[in-house]
Amino acid sequence: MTRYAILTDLNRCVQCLTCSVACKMANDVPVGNFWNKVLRIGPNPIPGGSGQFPDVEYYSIPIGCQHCEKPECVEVCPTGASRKLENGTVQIDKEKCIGCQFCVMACPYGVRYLNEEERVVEKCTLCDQRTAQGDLPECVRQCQGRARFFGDLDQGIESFRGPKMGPEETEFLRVTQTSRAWSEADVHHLPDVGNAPSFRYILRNRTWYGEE
Amino acid sequence: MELQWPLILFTLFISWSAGLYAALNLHALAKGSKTARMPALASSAVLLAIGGVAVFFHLEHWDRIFNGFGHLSSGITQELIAVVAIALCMVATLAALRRTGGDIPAALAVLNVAAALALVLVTGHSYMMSARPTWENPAQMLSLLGNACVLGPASYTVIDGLAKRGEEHRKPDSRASAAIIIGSIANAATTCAFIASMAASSSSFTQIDRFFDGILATKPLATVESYSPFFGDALGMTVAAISLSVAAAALAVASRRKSQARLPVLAMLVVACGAMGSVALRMAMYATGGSVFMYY
Repeated sequence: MTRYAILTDLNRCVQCLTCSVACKMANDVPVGNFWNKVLRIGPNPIPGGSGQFPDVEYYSIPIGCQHCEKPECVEVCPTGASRKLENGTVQIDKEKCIGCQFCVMACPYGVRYLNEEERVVEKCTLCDQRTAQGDLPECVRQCQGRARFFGDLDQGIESFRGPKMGPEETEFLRVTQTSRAWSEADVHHLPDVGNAPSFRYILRNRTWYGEE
Repeated sequence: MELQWPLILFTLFISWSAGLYAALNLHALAKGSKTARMPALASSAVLLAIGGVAVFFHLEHWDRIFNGFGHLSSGITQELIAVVAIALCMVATLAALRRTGGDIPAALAVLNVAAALALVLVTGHSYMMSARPTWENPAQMLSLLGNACVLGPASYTVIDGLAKRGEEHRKPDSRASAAIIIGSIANAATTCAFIASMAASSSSFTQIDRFFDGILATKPLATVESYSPFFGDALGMTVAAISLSVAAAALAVASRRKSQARLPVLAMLVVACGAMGSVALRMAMYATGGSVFMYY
């Protein structure tokens, strides 16, 4: 089975918010809604430091739909509008959505929004209009820090790919070509309350905040 | 989370309807007076209908209402099934009352009580979401049952009193009074238990110390305290929920040994306190209903 997901190398993320803006442009996300948001964690004291500047650290983390393995949003949807596809992504059939917003309540990450014009719930689609044609999600494609990578979790995060470094005919670069090496302990995910989020985050030499 | 008024009213009227329906059937099983059964059944059906209409206001697309409801894992689908089941039970009870001149067969009465219980528990269960730590507790479900326990017997006593107007010198109905006392004490206990469980769930929120939201930079930063029932906006709602549930219990206890004429009046006050307390409790539930990852 395929499990499409995004891997983010947080040591490379500079919180430029390009992923958020690119997402809004590519998907026509309404004002006030964010399918992809960036949170800065910190500055927090470095363990063993003085507790004062400059012994502090922070990292930035883009957050969107985690395309969970066991999505609660799908469980609670009365019409089956929210559903999990064979490629592992969670998608919303807007024609079926009745706007009850129980999926918004059931999502642990606050990444589902009511489109007040269409009166349906929306969220990150992993740019399925692009990925279905072999392209990358727009947030990955536009990432200025080369921190975002797209791939199939079942193939391992080493197989994830980021933007190209040359002409269009070149291949998308593997994460191993642009990111420094990491250990298994450096790979994290957002808090899991039984939903098994698919997105992964690499954070080296810093404290990951938020239990898993 | 913003207060979801359609859902607050839905849960109030569903628990009220189920409580009244259960009280009616328990009264029938106890071989009580038949006078109030038909008006109580009608009232229960009206309350169910009001709850159903209220919840429609939560939907953005009424026109797509027949799109589904086939997804059985959904709490909304389960609620719909339970509502339809109890509505069918009401039709069967109506037929039995009309056919027998006021009797409800014991088997049907037991089935009706089970259907009322199931409706309340299914409704509460649909709010059990692991993403919302303050809701993910059996005490949340039991609080709805407590609401049904206080509203049902008290409402039945009010209806019974209205149905028997002009009989002021009857002896006090000790069973009705006892039912109100037990129901209102159960409601006060489940209300306090739910509030305690909300307060105790603070450790379930993800905590990441300092953070900054670059997207919504002017939005107040989330803290665990802001999802406590004893903090901020929720505090007033919590105080109201506890006060009103305790007031309902106190009024119920005061109803002991009152004349049959006074009992419905006190029962009406119990209903008022119980209903307002239920609304206050649900308001507190939404006010504290932060996501486990509370930063977005």
